[in-house]
Amino acid sequence: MRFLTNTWKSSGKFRFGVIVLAILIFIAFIAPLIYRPIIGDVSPARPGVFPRWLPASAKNPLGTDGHGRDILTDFLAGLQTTLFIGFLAGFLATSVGVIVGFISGYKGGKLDTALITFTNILLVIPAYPILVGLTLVVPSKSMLTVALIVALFSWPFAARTIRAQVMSMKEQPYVELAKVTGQGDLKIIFTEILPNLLPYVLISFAFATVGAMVAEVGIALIGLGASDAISLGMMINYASGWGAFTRGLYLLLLLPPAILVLIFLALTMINRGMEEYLNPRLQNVTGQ
Amino acid sequence: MLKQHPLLRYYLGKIAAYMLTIWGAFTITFFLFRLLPVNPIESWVKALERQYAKTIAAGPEMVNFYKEQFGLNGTLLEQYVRYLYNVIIKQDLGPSFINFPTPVQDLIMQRLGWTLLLMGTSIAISWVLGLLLGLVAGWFREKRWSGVLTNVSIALSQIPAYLIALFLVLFFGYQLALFPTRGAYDAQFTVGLNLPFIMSMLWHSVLPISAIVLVTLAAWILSTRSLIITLLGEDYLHYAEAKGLRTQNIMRRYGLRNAMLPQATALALTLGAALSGQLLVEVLFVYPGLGELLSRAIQYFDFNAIMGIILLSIFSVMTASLIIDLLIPIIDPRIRTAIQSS
Repeated sequence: MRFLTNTWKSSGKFRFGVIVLAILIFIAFIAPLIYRPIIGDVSPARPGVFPRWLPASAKNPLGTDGHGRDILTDFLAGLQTTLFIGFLAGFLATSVGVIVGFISGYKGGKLDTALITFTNILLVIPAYPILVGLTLVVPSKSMLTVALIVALFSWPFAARTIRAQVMSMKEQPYVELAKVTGQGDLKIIFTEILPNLLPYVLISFAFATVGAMVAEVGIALIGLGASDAISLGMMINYASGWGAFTRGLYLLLLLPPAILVLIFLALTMINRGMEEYLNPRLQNVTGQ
Repeated sequence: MLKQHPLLRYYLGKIAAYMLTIWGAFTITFFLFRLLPVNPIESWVKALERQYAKTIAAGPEMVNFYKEQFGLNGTLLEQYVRYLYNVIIKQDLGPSFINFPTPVQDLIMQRLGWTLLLMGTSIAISWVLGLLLGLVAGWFREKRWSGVLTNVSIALSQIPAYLIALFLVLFFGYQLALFPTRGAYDAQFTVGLNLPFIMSMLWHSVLPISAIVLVTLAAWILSTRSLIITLLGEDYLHYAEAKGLRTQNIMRRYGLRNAMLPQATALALTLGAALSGQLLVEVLFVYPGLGELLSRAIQYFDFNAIMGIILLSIFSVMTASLIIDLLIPIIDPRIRTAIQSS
């Protein structure tokens, strides 16, 4: 916790990222309050609720799209889905990564060799083709399945980061001291290592979330998103399907990628802020 | 014997890890795709029926014939052993669905040049620019423009190239109609070494290359900058300054040279990963490279084509990193000593 407040105080990047992300999450939370009065009690992904291509009006503030959906609702629900899938997949990937990386780094020996070899093997496999293959065959593409599939190949990065940190922390004098004084493995893990590892877990989480969102957009772009929802990536796919490039539907074409860029930017700034706080050399400090 | 030769042990270890990783990655991918609940042969035969208006009825013989053609007959283990045998002994990746009966290796060779052109040029541009910009950004870290450059790079570094590509297509392709947005060249020119064709090719590659360069350049700038900043406290730099050397000289001979080794290593790894790197950019521009081929192969579950491209990509990534691992102790005496004393 002190790590977060200190980073907040010292890093403008971190503050910028947190504020932007907080605003986006807040919008995603109150989104139903805005779109429920417009579309009533149906799924935002449901086509044909309104006639197609209605101009903007009091009822549909941004008009309707080529599937007869309210465009404002598209954006709000798309933001919800993208954030939900990203954070869920990021959380899953980080959890697996932390557990694997921790065991690998703390136990060492043969187990470590086996785990790190497996991690390295997964890192070499080009993930995107496999994600697409899996998404093509799963019978029901709910948001949860998409998040699971995306998480499948994002945990090895987190595992590698955590392993490296655990290995260097194991050598620290305070851990040695705890060992000499006869504390058990579990006590050392929970009182000496985990608290110091937390910043790196957070960094891995932010990275994994960005990675998961990039992967989700990649899948959605070619028309393979979750079938029960609408995401920002899917909106880009729809827009190009409606010939938005040639018809000049700029709102539909530009806003989804712009919001995505904003999300990536916020997460990157949060990450960079934390990294710079932990490793001042990334900023302007020189020396060995 | 190995105990007395730590360097030899290091080399053998790296080579063993290289082979193990390639085998592991290949095996996982192979079984993952074959275990998917899909039946590519059935859809293939149905497509044939449609094509020939059912003048030929697709009997079980036909299904079996194509299963054999594509290496999908027998148990999974038999398929696996047969595939490995064909690849290693006969250098044959099998026929492809999407371009039947062209062998996958021929298909890959047709596409490889385009991907190498696209990725090779992008990587070369962004590496050279990134090193130079990173050098000045690190050296003059207190200047205002250096901070701006760094922050812009941080912002760009995590944005996927396909999103940048989308914006470029919209503004420069459609809005201003300056650059073409589809394909690698205009169809009216004959492919070959003639000026109109080469101009058309370069013209078509401007947008995809810019998209990839913008994103990867940011990463090179950031990594070079932090390498340089780490150097700045070193005694030999103060000494060089005290000697009265010109800043430009110090930057080139003491700064850039020291950043070169780690960045050349990273360059080799990037080149290795280039083959499957920017698949979606190729798809977006309908660029006839390996990525676009792979994305079509997946849609038809063309196992031979998928495995061929993935295998090539795994192989190039691993080979690049093996070469680096083997060269590093030769180039850098510090690392050699560290290995020898371990």
